[in-house]
Amino acid sequence: MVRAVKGVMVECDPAVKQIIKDLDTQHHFIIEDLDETHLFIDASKIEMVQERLEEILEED
Amino acid sequence: MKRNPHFARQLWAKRQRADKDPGAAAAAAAAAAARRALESHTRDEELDGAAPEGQEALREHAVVLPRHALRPAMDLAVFGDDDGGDDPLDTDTAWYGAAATQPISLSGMNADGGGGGGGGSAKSHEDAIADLFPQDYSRLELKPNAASRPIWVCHDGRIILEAFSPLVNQAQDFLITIAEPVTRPSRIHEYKLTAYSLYAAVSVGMTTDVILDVLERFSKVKVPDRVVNFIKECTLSYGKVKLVLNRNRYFIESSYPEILRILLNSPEILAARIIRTEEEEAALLEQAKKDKASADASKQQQTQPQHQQQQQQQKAVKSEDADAEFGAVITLDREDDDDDADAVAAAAASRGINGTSQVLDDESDFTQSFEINPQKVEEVKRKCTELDYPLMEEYDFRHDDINETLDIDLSPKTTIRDYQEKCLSKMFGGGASGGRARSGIIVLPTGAGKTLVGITAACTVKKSTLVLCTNALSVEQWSNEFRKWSTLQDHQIAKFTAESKQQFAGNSGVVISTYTMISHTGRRAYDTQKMLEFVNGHEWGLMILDEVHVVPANIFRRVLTTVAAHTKLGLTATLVREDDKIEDLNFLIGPKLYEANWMDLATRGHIAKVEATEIWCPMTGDFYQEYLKSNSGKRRLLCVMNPSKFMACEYLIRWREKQGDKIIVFSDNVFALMYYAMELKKPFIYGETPHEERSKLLNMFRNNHPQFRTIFLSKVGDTSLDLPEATCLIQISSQFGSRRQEAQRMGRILRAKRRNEAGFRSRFYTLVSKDTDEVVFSARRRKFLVDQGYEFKIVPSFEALVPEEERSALRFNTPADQARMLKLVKEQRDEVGLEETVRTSADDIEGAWMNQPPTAAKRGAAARRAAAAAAAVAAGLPAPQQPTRAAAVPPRRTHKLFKAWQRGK
Repeated sequence: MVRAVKGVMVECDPAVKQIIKDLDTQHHFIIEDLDETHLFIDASKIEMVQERLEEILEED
Repeated sequence: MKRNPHFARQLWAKRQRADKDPGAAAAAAAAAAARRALESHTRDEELDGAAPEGQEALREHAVVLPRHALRPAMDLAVFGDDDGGDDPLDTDTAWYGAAATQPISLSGMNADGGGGGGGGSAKSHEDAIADLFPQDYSRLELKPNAASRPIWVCHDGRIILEAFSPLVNQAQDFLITIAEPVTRPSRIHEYKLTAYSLYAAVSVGMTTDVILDVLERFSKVKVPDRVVNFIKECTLSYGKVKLVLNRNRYFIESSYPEILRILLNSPEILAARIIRTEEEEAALLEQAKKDKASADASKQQQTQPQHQQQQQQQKAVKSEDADAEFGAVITLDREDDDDDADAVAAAAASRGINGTSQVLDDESDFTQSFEINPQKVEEVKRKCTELDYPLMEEYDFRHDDINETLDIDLSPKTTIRDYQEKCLSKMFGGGASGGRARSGIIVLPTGAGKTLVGITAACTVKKSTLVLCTNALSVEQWSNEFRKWSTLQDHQIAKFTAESKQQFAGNSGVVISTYTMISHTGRRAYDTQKMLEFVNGHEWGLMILDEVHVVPANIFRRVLTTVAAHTKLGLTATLVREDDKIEDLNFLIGPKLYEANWMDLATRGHIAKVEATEIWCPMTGDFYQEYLKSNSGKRRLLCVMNPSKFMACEYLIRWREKQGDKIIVFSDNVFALMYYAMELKKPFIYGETPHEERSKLLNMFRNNHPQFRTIFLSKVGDTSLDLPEATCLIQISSQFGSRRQEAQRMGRILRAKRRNEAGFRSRFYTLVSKDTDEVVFSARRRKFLVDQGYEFKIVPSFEALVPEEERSALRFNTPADQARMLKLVKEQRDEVGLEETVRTSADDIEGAWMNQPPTAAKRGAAARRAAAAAAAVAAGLPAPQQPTRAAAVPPRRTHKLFKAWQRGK
């Protein structure tokens, strides 16, 4: 059966990608790891990811 | 600290709406004028360079200029000192932008005449930014012809110089004498008046009136009263008391008896004072000259006119006994200087005395002195500085007939450059006080001829000279330079190191040694002990202290208390330290006499021009993932071993070698050093490399051996190696924010001989792994060079550096290779990431490490030896193509820096 998932492609630099991937171990939103700088992630979680990422980068 | 780039802009907009006070516009006339003058020169740079540390903001800007350069404009235009230091940079950026486009609105700040307390008044305007700038400069009135005057004097003692003014040369000469240079980029220079700098000015013969007069003449605004008072306060009390070394005994001398009394009121100084009985005194003076101590003893505590009368009586006595000399005295006694024929005649004439055939005192007013304990000299000096009567050390070498004169002159072919002459004139004082030497420090960049300055000083003093360097290698260099530049014969030069312990023939000569040899207190071999006794027993005319900034203060203390020298000359390229020990040098040696302007020397071709570039190498995904999980030791290693950094390095080496450059690659991390060097098949030197091998490698490098065009150096290369002809320098690891190290490294390429070719520039590359701690360190390190006027170009990505077609040729450009490298790094223990520890002031560094291309046999031996020396390093040396051992991945740890992230999980 075909299952359609709505996703968003995220472009970022490799460093940020690693941070997102680490977030993913908690929340599981990455649908596909495309390449060094691109990720395809669950559209419904995009806001949460943005928020969390903002926090992490702020604190740095 | 949270940074929000929009914060200031929002505030600004808000204020624009709130602040509609039109009447205030006039109040800002001065500010606007000031800004206009500065704006045209600094505005573009401001916008580009305001946030060297804010990496995100910087990506699109190629040039970083010093933040200091911006401050002047800001201070003068409106506000004042934001000495907070770590103010939010992004806010600054926004502010500059806004200020540049909205000049009139600045007036709001002054509307209620807040004056110095601008912060308070600004609050009533709901202006949050004004809090950052508590002082208001806008009310300063410009002089009518302000445009043609080159400097601004702020009331906190800062002086801003417009380096584009036609009067800049005169102003610069003046400012360098009276103030400390803070930053000297291309257009706006900043200086600061300090007590020490004024003390230095006085000691080179400036008087209070001259300083104030010239300052007023150069200044665009009226010199603030606070500054005037400060200058008066500092200069009036300075230079009144002298510390004189006479026959190995220290005397404090002054022509103002009341000052001596003030000093003696301090218990510390009183305790240091030596009161000798007449017999002791007599015994001490016996071998010198005729004893007058008993006569002097009775004349203590007398008022000045009486003294003068007595002096005249004594002159009569002296005429019968021409060589009589007043030596040490018991209490507040007089001391007559040696005679000076010219001054005698003048003095005699002025007093209406028939001066023929009379040998008189050369001072128009006479001096008094008391003796102090040599052990306590430093303490006394410090106390005197606290009492605002810093001791000035002077040595009247021409009239010193007790110490044997050394027959030394510059060799005929030697010419000294104008700035070297300037240094020396500061040291020996031109004009009236000529012929006297003062102690102090001269700051010249590496390659500008510091050694020659030292040698010329020795040739001027013409007395026995002691040179102290940081290691045996520089001892060698100094002795060679002495032979090259002066007429000194071999037998007059003595080297005193672990290997050689000669004494010079005859009564005077030059001894070259190291700090450690002189200061070591433990048991010594017989001949060392003998030599030490000789050094300590001798009275030196001049002591040259090379690389003064590196030597720990306690070693200095020991050296300076055991060795008696009339004059001390400190030489250094970088008078900065990360600890604040530089201040100590002021009373240990003396004031800074001269500091050269690097940019100026470079423009005139005395040192090489340098193109400084910082290259930001992105961490590859895998490396960054590992980085996030590691502790600090491992993190550093990951930063250095970053494959894109490696590729950038390889590319640079290839490219520059092709251009004919000779390259030095610096790495603080020994593991990375060896790995890079072996991968690229280049020679390397680090702390464990034996002496002979070092010199062999360096000779090959010096002689343009085709396979030795590039050399890898660890921290040992920072100061202790002499590499005269490198033209390109690459830093692959710069772990800590040491400005001094950065400047020393820069020094390695400043003496490049090719600098005379038209358009030639030495190159200085720093490779930084992006998004890591290195970025912060590197920003800190840059500061010194930026303050010297260097501009750093930033290459923000690997792609921007390496052309596409070159990439495939580089090692580690494939994921497989990168994975191999990562695995190797993971295998290393955390300590491997730490930097090498090198004893900077060691005479010789012991060790055993053969640096050869890795062959199977050698590798075994090397590994064994390295294991003994540095176990941590040994594990990391598989040959480049050898498959690495499968090793357990270390347990993953998360660094505390990422707490926030942890919390989020």
